[in-house]
Amino acid sequence: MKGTAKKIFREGLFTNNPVFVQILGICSTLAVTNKLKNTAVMVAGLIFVTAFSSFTISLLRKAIPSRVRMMTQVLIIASYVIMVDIILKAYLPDISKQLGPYVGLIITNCIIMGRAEAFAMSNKPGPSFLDGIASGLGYAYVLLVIAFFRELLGSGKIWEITVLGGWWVNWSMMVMASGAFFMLALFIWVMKGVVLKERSAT
Amino acid sequence: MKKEMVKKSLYTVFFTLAVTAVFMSALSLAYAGTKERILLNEGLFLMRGVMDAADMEVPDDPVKAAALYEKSVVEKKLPAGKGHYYVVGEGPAKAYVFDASGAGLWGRITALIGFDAELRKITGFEILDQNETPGLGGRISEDWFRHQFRGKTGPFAKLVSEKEDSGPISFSAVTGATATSNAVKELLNDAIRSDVDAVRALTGEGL
Repeated sequence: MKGTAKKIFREGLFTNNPVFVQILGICSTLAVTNKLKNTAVMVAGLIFVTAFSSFTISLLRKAIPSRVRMMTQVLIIASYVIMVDIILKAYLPDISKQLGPYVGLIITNCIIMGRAEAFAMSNKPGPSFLDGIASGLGYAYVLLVIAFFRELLGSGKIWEITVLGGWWVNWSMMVMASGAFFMLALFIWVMKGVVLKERSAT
Repeated sequence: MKKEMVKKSLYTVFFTLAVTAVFMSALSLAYAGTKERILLNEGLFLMRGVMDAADMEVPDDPVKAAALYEKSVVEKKLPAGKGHYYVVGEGPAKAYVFDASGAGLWGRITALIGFDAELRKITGFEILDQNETPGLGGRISEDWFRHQFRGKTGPFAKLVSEKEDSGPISFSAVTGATATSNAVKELLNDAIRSDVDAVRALTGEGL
């Protein structure tokens, strides 16, 4: 069990990272990474949804008829996402307002469905839950790193606190989606070229 | 063989129905449980907006804020009968608050604009809802942008850059978000030219 958990986390975070290895969830990577605070709420929502939907799907895996497999997965995922949306609206109304439609769009995040299909349908609930958390974390840290640099370069701020003084000219490109393409590409390049290469060499 | 297929199809149908029923009930429960709180949040958000636009001190405590609103704000129908405005102040009116909304770059921007008792100077500008680009057009919700309208008269003729001083009929646009800034100018001017002028005419008669 301990070995499996380790393997699951290594895969989710590095060797099979959903963003820079599987290149999934790119839409939200581009859309919600220009402010660290919004990104943090979004990734927390995603980790929650991936973990619990993987867990639920795994519980039901033997009962789900293969013909309505996908429909059932989407139903379960959507239910958890709407739950997150309701909780945000009720308890964190300011953040809910800022995120706007993005929370609802977690439903269409390919990572969740990808984990459901690739892992939860053929594994027990416990490991599936861990796999959901691992993939969610793998997605989370990539987005947080990108958001950190985009907010810093684009607005001169970190977590909405100004850190770069008056001398800094905001690089507006960084807060637009096109800036995210460059940041993401750089990130993938560094991860694939440096980090993953070293691992495979050893 | 055929019987088995029928059985399988029936199972699929029942499974689909059952799983849908279970999850939808769970969601309905969650929704019913938080509905009141959500409505309260939205109501409170509007109340705070109206009082902020009238440049009032609003307590952080939600119950106190709601009580203050009850005490000092009256909603009135616009003379043309197509909407409403708010009269703020215990006793004689201290400020008037109007709805202002228009098309932004990505979606509708809804806001509130407050005027002083003489309906001449702006007391505050509050954004209720906007879907502009976060970090660019979205910055119209930031304090520096909203607060710059205080003391101005409008209607607005011109936008200036962020660091320039602006006069009574111009304001600083958000750098990199000219379309959104123009949208704000348009929706403010629309509100001033129709609703504010209509109430001006009304209070003019009354005086």
